[in-house]
Amino acid sequence: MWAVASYVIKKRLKGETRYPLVLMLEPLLRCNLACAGCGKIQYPAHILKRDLTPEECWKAAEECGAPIVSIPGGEPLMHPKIVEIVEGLIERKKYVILCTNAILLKERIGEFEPSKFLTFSIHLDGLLEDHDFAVCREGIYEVAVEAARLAIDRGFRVTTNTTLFEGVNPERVRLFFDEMAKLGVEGMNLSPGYSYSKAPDQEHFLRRSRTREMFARILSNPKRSWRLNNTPLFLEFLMGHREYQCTPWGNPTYNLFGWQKPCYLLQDGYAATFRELIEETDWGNYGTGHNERCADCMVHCGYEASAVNDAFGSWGGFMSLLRAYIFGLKPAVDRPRDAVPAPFSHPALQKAPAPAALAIELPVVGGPAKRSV
Amino acid sequence: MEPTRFNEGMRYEGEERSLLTAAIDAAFDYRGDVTLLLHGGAEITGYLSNRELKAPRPYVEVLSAGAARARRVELADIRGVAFTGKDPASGKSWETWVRKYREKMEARSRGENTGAIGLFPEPLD
Repeated sequence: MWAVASYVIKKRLKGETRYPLVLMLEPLLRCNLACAGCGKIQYPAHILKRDLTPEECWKAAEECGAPIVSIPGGEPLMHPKIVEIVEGLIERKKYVILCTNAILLKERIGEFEPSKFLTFSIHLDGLLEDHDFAVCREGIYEVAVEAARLAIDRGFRVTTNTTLFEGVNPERVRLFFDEMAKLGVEGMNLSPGYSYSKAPDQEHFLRRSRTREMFARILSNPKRSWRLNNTPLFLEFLMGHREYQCTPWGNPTYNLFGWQKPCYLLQDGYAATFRELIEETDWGNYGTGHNERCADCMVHCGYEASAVNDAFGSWGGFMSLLRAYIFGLKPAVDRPRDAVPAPFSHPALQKAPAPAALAIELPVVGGPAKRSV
Repeated sequence: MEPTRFNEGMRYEGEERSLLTAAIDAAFDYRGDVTLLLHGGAEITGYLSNRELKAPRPYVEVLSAGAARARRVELADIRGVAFTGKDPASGKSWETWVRKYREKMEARSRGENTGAIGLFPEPLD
């Protein structure tokens, strides 16, 4: 955290307003999963066969200057030179977060050396049935958990990354957190999934409200054993306690096509250089209220950077961060700490819509959003 | 104007600039290869990886199979676009997966051997 804090403070002192926090480096686009609807892997075979070279990866990291390099993909462990790429980034003092579905981790872990600069971020979207359904293949949860255990035993830093879509069962998510705490992961990263549909403003507002209620139910009254890796202010944003505008340049994306405009999720074109991305993108066209495709988005790659900038860019934000660390997340939700989780189900599998009564089962009792950045 | 919807096998050829740029936009969103039809009769096939239609000299970039780098082609040189490559996104929606999962689970509940339920990437060769 100190590395990020000092980086933000230095940028602020220099008067810079648009600076990256995390480079999203996609060294390949092929994957050994075939998750339905994943826009990252649907390309012609000649594109999926291509890899960024280690030199291209290092150049992108230097050009961008972010202190953290997250490596999603595709599946980065399918890259033949991923070890060389990671080692080169570590030599450049970058904190590397290698995001993996862990299918190949057991096979390749011997090629890596534990380092404070390297974290394996293992994709787990919930308990066994929930995760396997989300990644569209049975058996993957057990493979990922076994690989995570192995990596922890070998002294690696291991976190999880979890995407939660509307309709998940909050009690099952909380039970999943318990399981990850028992497994011994260093932290858990959460994000709502990205969705976009053409809809009236009112429908977008309701969708964001439902997302916030879902996160409030999941995160209120947390257990001490849980280690959440997100900035508390981002979690409070997800829970509806504060408002942020998106920081799309906070997590710039570099891949086979160049620097993706404007963000990790939208593909409006590519810039040849990082400077071109920052200087020539019309940033005013993006964010909630500015672009329909951003209307429902509350995803970490746009809003975690806003929370970090708030926390380390102003006294008010910093005091809010301290308050959240010491006294816990807001808003509080009137909920039992140990409710019994329901068996696996998914809204898409239900023939009839969920009963409306479920929506008021655990009311949010905190106030409305208080800060705006 | 409303973006024009193009699917695998469709093509646009013509002098109408707004229709051509709509076709280029659709080709940029398309997940398969396209073929650019150039004035003079030449054609370039590949993945349309970028387009900048607001530049002083609007252009597209095409990454062809076997080429190391994307080739830049000015809009002024293009007379049409054909959606010639297979659409890799076709049939891979979330709804398709849910339908498959539900059918397999129902089969399993009837005692049928479904094996592990899942989706797998297509071979690249």
